[in-house]
This record gives sequence, C-alpha cells and structure tokens, in this order.
Amino acid sequence: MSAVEVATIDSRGRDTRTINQDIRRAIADGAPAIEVLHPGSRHNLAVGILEPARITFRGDVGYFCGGLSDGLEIRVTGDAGWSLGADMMSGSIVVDGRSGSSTGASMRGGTVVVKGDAGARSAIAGKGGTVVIGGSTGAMSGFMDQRTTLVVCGNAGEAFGDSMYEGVLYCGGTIADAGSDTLVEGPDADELAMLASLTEPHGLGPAREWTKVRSAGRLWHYDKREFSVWKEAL
Amino acid sequence: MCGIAGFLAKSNDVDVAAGLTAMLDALRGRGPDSTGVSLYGAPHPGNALASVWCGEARSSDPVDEVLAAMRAHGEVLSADERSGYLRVALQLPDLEPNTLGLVADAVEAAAPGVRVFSIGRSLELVKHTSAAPVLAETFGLLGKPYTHAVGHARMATESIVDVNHSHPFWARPFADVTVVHNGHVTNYHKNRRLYEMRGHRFQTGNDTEFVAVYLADKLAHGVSLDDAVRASIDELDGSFTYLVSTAEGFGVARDRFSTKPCLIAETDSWVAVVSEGIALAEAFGDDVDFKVTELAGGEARAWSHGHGGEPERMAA
Repeated sequence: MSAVEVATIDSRGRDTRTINQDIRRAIADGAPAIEVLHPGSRHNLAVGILEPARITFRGDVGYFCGGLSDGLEIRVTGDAGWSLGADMMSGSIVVDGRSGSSTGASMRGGTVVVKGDAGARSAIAGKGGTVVIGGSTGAMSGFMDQRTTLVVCGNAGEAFGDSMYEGVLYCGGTIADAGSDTLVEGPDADELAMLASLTEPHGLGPAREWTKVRSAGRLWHYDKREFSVWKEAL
Repeated sequence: MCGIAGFLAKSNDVDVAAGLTAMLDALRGRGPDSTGVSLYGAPHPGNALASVWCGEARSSDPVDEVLAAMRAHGEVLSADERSGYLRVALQLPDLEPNTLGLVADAVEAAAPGVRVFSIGRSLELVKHTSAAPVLAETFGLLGKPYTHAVGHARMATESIVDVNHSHPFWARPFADVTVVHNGHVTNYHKNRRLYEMRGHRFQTGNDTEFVAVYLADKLAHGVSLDDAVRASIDELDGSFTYLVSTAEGFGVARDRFSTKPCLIAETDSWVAVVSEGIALAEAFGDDVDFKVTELAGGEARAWSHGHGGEPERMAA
C-alpha cells in the first residue's frame, strides 16, 4: 500500500476484525485517506483508533462506528446504527444519512454530525464535544448530559435534557417535553452565531426557531433534609 | 438482546422463507441460543394446520397418540413427521378458540411431553435450538409459496434454553396469531393474572406468551390489528419491540423509550421489519435500493399481504 495513494478496503465477504486491521495498517502506512467500500452495516468499524486519519465509509455502518476513537475524521455516506461515535475523544464523524439510538453517547470530545434523523438518547451522558442532528431526535436525548453540546435542527422527543448537568441543548423545532430540572430559553447572539457555524457548513439549519435547554441546577446541590426541593425538581 | 424479523411478500415470486432465514442468520450475534419462525400462506389440505413438538415426548410412540387425539375432534388429512415435529393437516368443525383449545389440550393429555405449538388456517410454526439456515433446511421451508413470516433469534435471559421457551409464541387457543419479541414486558405478571381470571391458560412463564394472548384477545373482540398494536404502547410496560402476525399480515410496536431497535425496509417486492441493518445488508446486499426507516419510539404499524396482491399498510 503506497503512502501517497488513497487506501481502498473492500468489505465484501469479510469480518469486522480484518477490516479494522486493514484500516489500522493503512494508517500505519501513512495513507492520506482511506475508503471503505461495502461496509454492509457491520458493527464496530473504526473503533478504538487513536491516530488521526481520514476514513470514508461508502454505504451504511452498524453499531458503534468510530467509538472510543481519538482524532479520526470519518464520513459515512449512508446510515449509521446505534452508538455512533460513542466515547470518542476528538475528531469528527459526519453521516450523510440517519443514525440509530445513543448517537454520541458518553463522548468526551470531537464533533458528530448526522444530516438526517437520529434515534432516541442522542448525546446521553455526554462529557464533552458536540453532536449536531440535521433532522429530529427521539426520547431522552441529552439525558444526564454533563458537558456535550447537542444541536437538533428538527424536533426533539420526550424528556429532552432530563436530569442534565452542564451540557447545553438546542432545538430548532418542537420539543415534545423538556425533561426534569431544565430551563427553556432563547439563545443569545453569540450562541446563534455558534449554531450557524455548526450547521450551515453542512447545509443544515433550524426547522423553525432555535430554543435553548439547560439545567436548572436544582438537583445539583441540596440537603437531603430538604425533601421538598428534590420533590419539586422532579 | 435477541433479534426479530418479519418479511412480507408483495408479489408471488418472492421466497419469504429465504428472506427471513437470511435475516435471522445475520442476527445470530443477538440470539445464538435458538431460532424460530412462523410462516403463513402455503397451501395444505383441510381447514387447519397444526405444528406439534414431539421431541420431548415421554412415550415411545407419541405420533399415534397425537393423531388418535386429533381424530376425536376432526379428520386428519395428512401428517408429516420431521426432526421431532409433527405437521398435521386437519379438517376441524371450526377454528373457534374453544375448538382449538380442546384439540390442543386433548393432544397434550394423550401424549405426555408433547406440546402443540400452533394451530391455524395457514400457520406453520417451527422453532429449535439451531441456527436459522439449519432450521430452514431441516424443515424444508425454502421455496414454498408463503405470503409472510416472522422469526426470532433468541438469547435466553429469563428462562431456559430449550425448544418450548423459544419464540415464536402461539396465542393459544386463537388461530394463526403468533408473536416474536425483543425485550422484557414488566407488567406481564399482573396482566397475566387478570387474563387467567378470565379463563385464559398460559403454557410457559414467558412474557411474550402473554403479549400474544393479549393481542389475540383484542383481535377476537373485533379490534383491528392496527388498533391492537397501537393500544399495546400504552398498556404494556417495559422494553419491547415485538412483531405479531396473523393470517392476513403482521404488525409491529416499539416502546416509547425505543429501548429495542427496529428498522423497516421496503421495495416494490417486499416489506422487511428487522432489528438491525446488518441483517438487511447480509440478506439483500448493501447495494440493493430499498428505503429504510426506523420505527420511532411509541410507534406501531401493521401491514396486510392483501390476499396475494399489493400489501396494504394499515397504520402509519
């Protein structure tokens, strides 16, 4: 494999382990870009890769694509399964289609962009980074979000941002139900500029008008003897 | 885990069993313990078809005992024994639940250890602790003119790994209704007691068996398949994506929190409902042009095979 050529890996008839081994080998050989053909919705592609590399999956990927990675630049031309980019530390993942549940779950850094809809629990328990959903997302997105920024251009399902910490959620459509202990407010000018910078390069934008959801913080600090505070927050 | 799949043909040239088998084989990682399928629509003599599991019979000649018990209630037109299963074509006075319940009870009383897995107009149910391709080959399922089918790849979590506890579950004694399920229904103990007070009897401790009876009971009371699967979203607690099938078609429902996956793929020739996209890619190729959507949390849909013509989508 030449260091100056795009490395092409055809997945047909192969298992995930050997495909990932080829991806790692191409990175070690210094390939500037890697094209994976016919990924066939296989799970766990490009997982745990800690070196920077540019990988394009031509088709659909399965669960956990790009999970636990650090510095990859991934593009998926089709759809993605559950837990896209879960636990990733830096880099970017752009999906032209849609993604399943738990997109960007527990991620620590980097950016995940899904141009279509995402399933439930997007950016759940996030610890950093940014998730951008071009369409709508399902129930409990942003649940217990600690520090991830979640941008949903379309609608958000029930319990949006429930029990979150210091993350910030934005929704460009309708929120079915903001979760417990949340504040719903309008973004300021700086935030609108930030939202434009995150969405417009991908041809995305709010379905209607941006709404910001953050934690009300009532669940953070309370004395266990103040049961009424806890009861009110929930 | 566990994986479920449903496949419905829009035209007569689609091999339903082949499509379902390929999807279930691709879901083996979600369910390596057993595989089961309910297939509908292949012609047979008489007005009923029974699938009887004799693999754990305690007598030396259960087939004679089973057939003698059946002859007390109707005419036995054909009987095919294969790998522990007895597939019996019957002419019964009717297919009312009371009649089917009597037949099933009589068979199991006459042949200890034998289990009647299904009776229906057009239902053929087989399940085993083997992989999907083995199941299809063992029972000669491929190439038959089925209209639709549902199947299950099981990872046992709450009951033992055996044939009896594998899916699909027949909604005994309701003709043709079967369910495959991924998840755990948490209010089934309470609901099951309510149904037992109304006279229903359950064969296993599996929550899916309750879901089957619950849905069949609604259908028997005139509720449409569409309305039945929609109502289940509110009336069942827990995590679930299930497929319920009748002689006319199948329906699917997913709990509000989307805890179990569900994709729907459609072409001009077929409709597939399945747990994971990898099953679509392995069964039909990743370059086949089909539209894939994810069933949303709290959504339920149903399709009818339309008597061999265009399937009718009964709910959106």
